[in-house]
Amino acid sequence: MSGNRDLPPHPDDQGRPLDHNRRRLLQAVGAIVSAAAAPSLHASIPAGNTADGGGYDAIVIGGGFAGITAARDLSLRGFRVLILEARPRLGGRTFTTRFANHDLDLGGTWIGNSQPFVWSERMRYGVDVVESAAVAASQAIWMDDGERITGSLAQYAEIYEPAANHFYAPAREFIPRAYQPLFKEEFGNLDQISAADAIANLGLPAVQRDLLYSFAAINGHSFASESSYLDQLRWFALGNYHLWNLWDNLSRYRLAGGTKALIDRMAADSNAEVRLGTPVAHVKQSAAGATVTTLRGEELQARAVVVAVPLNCLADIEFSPAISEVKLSESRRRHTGSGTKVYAKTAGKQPVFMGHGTQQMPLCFAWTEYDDPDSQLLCGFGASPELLDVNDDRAVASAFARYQPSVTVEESVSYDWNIDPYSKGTWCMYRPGTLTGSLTELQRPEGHVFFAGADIANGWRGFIDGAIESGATVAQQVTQHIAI
Amino acid sequence: MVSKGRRLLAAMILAGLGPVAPHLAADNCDIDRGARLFAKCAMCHPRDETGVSGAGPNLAGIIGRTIADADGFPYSVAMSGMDGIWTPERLDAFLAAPMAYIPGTTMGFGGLRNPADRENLLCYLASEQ
Repeated sequence: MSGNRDLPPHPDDQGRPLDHNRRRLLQAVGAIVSAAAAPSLHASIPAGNTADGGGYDAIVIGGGFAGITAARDLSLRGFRVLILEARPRLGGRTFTTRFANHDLDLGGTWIGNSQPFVWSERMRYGVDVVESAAVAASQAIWMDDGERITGSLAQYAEIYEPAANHFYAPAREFIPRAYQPLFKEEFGNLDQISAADAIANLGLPAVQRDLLYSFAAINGHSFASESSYLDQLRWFALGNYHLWNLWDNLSRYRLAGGTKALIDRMAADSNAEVRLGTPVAHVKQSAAGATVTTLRGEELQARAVVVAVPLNCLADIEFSPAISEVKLSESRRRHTGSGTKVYAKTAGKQPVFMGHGTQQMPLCFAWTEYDDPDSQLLCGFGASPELLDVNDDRAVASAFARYQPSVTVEESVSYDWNIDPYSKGTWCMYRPGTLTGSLTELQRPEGHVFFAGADIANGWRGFIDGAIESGATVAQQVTQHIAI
Repeated sequence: MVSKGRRLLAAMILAGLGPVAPHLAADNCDIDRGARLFAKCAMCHPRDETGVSGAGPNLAGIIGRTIADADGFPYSVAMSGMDGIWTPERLDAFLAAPMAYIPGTTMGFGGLRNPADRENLLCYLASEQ
């Protein structure tokens, strides 16, 4: 960078009147930024904080991408921040591990360049992307009335693409702004009906109808009958109303080194204190802030608390005073994400393929994710754990054999996000009614308690991108809350 | 495969364990299969002489070890509250249905339902690292 001359003028320079609070905030933040640039970071605790180590400006509950983003942004503004993470690792519903000589992501994996928040982070920290092998698949596999069909990607697209565009047809009218999902205000019954209802009403031939059921199933990570049609439509808006651009954002690019490569850099850039293996039991608010009590009984004070846990886990923390009934009931109702994801290492090789099955198959989608010299890693998704025991290698092998009948599976791995008490599900899509009825309330701070997470983002909700969007937004809210 | 079964028995004897469930003492367990099944555990659990834990505790020498004894690992309250050592029988029951055997465990694993899988995995866990 050659100085600031390319930057737009600061709002102050445009002669706009600043209200009193805003002016005070800018002064406070300016002081913090100056202090943070000093050699000793410990000297950067802003005025008003307890300098005796007895309290924090903010406690962030949950060390996934949302929590890490919020903690990083707040700590870089000079606030004293503590992250409490229940698991022994950071990452939340992303988890990079080693398998078959790859940095394998068992949870959230793919990002795309229509995802502004995560794409910006990965460029800022210099984390490269690699592409899924299936992007260059030589074979497409799909099902027609129970019969396995193989062909080229172009032949598959001839059947699937017009059906998907039919399904997504209302997206431009009802979601004209992808990052303001409620901008339109009037949605007819689109948030009251399920994706399955919408698909049934399209009157398509069975082969196309079944492909759409399966597509809705992988996107909602549950049967198409579970997810709101309106919430499904949002994805098309986020994909710039272009089917293959949407696909590129769902399954094309992985982070080199896995999602861990990015979250580790974000955490390293943060000045927040991190405590792993520290579940939270209770958040009690007072006039000046909140007391967070860990499961082991430790009490910690902060001026603000950021609750960055999965929606499905929100109701497991006790709040005094109680948080709103809408938040609690949506947490207990759970979002739709409850399916399976499994990787299998093959002996020998098959054509690099992209398989689109039916939602009743053990795996509704399967493809070649890594094409190694002597073997391949296949990736598959299923609508429900009831359809596949992901820990049974034989069941996993036969699930992939529905796509590649002669495949030999040597080992398979998965992670049971649905039974992990700190996720209780996979990624978020909403059931009918939640988007129009509850999203705004799910995002609403209550006193000194703020809510963040992929599950309540405005844009790519349920994605890494949405987690970062939400964490950054809440960091702004908290900055205003405690700086003024 | 005889030697592998004997190795499991030897490990249990070394660990001072009493009578074992008949299927765990079987001579026909498949340690190679067990090693492949361990890939599922290895997602979270290291198993090496460093003793350093990862997303799950290090499993080096787990058979015969005191339950929840990995240095510095933040066990769940439920796991920390368990007494005794990991016998093959206990591991077998735990691995079959972790959350049923230790309600409140935070291990995100649904279990190995197939008894032969568990037998092979235990065989591998009893083997030298």
